[in-house]
Amino acid sequence: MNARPTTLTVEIEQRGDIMVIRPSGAMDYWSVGPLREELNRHLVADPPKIVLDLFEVAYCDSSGLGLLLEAQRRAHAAGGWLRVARPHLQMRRVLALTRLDRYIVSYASVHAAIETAEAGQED
Amino acid sequence: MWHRALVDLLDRAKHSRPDELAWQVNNALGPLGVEATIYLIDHEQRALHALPEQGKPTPEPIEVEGTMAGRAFMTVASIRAPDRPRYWIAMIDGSERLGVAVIDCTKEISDEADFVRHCEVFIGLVGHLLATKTPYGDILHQVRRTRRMSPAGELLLSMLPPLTFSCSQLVVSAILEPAYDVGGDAFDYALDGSIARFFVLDAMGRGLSAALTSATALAAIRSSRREREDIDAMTRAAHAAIKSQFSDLRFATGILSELDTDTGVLRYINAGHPPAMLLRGGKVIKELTGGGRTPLGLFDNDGAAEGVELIEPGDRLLLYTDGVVEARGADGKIFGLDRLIQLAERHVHGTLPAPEALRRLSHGVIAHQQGPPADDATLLLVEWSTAAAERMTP
Repeated sequence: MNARPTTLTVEIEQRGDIMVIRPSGAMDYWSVGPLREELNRHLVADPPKIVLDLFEVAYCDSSGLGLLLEAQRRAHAAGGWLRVARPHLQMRRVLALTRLDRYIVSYASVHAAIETAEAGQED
Repeated sequence: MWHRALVDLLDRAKHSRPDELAWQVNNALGPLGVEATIYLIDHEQRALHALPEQGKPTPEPIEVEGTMAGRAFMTVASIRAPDRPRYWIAMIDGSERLGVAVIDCTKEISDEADFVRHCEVFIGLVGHLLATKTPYGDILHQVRRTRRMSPAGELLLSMLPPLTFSCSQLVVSAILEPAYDVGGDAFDYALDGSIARFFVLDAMGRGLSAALTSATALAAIRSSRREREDIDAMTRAAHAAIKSQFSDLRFATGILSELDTDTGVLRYINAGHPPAMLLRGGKVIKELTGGGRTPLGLFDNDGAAEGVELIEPGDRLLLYTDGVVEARGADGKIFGLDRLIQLAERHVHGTLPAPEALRRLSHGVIAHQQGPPADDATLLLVEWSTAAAERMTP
C-alpha cells in the first residue's frame, strides 16, 4: 500500500482572552498530534475560550472528530467554550451524518463564533 | 465405497491435530484411487494456499484471478480439467467459502456426474472438519495469512462470525479490509426463526484502541440480543458499555437492524453511520436515512425512533463503513458514494454469489486506494431471496 502519512500544521492567534487556533492540513488519526498539543496548551486557561478555525482543514476522520468533541467537553467542564468556524463541506457532512451538528455548531466566521459566545449564547 | 470413505474420515478426524487433517483426508480417499490437495483462501481473498501434508512437497499458491481453482472458488462450483481426470471443487463450511480442493483420480470414472457429486459431499465434510479443527492449532490460521496479523486484527477476528451464512430465506455476507490490520470495524449477525439481526460497527481511531472499543460494543450487543432484547435495547447496551468502560472520550458509529423474513419489515437504528443502501433489480433505489441518533458512547438519552422499511423479496441491503467511501486515490480524492453505488450496481446483482460480489466490490475500493493508509473498510450484504441461498453451494 502506498502509505503517505498526512500532516497538519497549527497556527495560533490571540485575540484578548480568546485563542483562535488554525489547523491546516488533514485532521485524522495520523496527523492530529500537533493540534492535540496546541489544544492541551490552551484548555488550561481559566476559563478556556477557543475558536477552531477549520478553513484550511481539507479532511477530518473519526480521530479528528473525537479530538474536537473531547476538547469541547473539557472547555465546557472548565467553564469556558470551544467553537468551530468555517468547516469545509466534508467536515459539515461528517457532523450532519453523525448528528453531532446539534452539539458542535459550525459558525460562518471566526467573528460570528466569538460574537455569539461572548453574548452568552449556547453552542 | 464413498460412504465408507466418509465414515473413515469422520473416524480418523476424531483424534487428529489440525496439521494432520490433509493427510487423513488422503488416507480416507486412498481406497477410491482419489487424491485431494486442499487449498485455503487467504484473508485478502486473492490467492489459494495449499495445506501442507506430511511426506509431500507443498504446492505453490494459486491466484484466484485467471485460474481454474480461482474460478471454482469465485463461483462456488465444481470444474473439470479439459485434458485429464482432475477436478476443482469449491470447499465451503456450510456456506462460508474456505477454499478449493483439487481432486485427481487414478481409476476409471464410469459416471462422472455421480463422481463429482460424491466429491462435493466429501469435500463439504472436509470443510466442516477444517472449521471444527481450526481452534486447536495454529496451522489453519497460518496457511490463510500472507503476513503478520496485528493484535487488533487477532482480537476482532476472534470475535467475528464466519463471513457468510445462508439459510432458506436469505444470505448474509461480509468482508473486512485491511484484512491483517483491521482496527475499529466489526460486524455480526444472527438468524433465529424468521428474524435476521445484523449490524456493522466502526469505532473511532485505529489499531488496538479502536478494536477494544468495537469488541466492547459487540459483546454488549450480543449480551443484549441473547436476552431477546430489541435493537433499541442493544443500541443502549453498546452505548452504555463504551461510555462506562473507557475513561477517555471514544465512540463507535453503527447500524443495528432486524429483518422479519416472513413479512419483509426491516427495522433499524443508525448511530451516526453512513446509511445502508437498498438495491432492487440491480439498482440502488434508496438510502435508508431513518432511525438516526448520535454515535454510541457519547450522549445519553439520545434514542430516536427506529427506521422502518418494507423490503421486497429479491431486495439486497448493503451496509458499509466510511472507510469504503473515504478511501483516497493518488489524486487525494475520496472514493465517494457515487463510485460505491456504481460498483455495487455492477457487482451486486444477477447470479453472482453474495460473497463473490462483495469480494469484487471490496477489491474495487482497494484498487482506488493510493493515498494515506486506508481506514478499515467493511461491507455487509444481505440478500432476501431463496435463489441467493441456492447459489451458495456447489
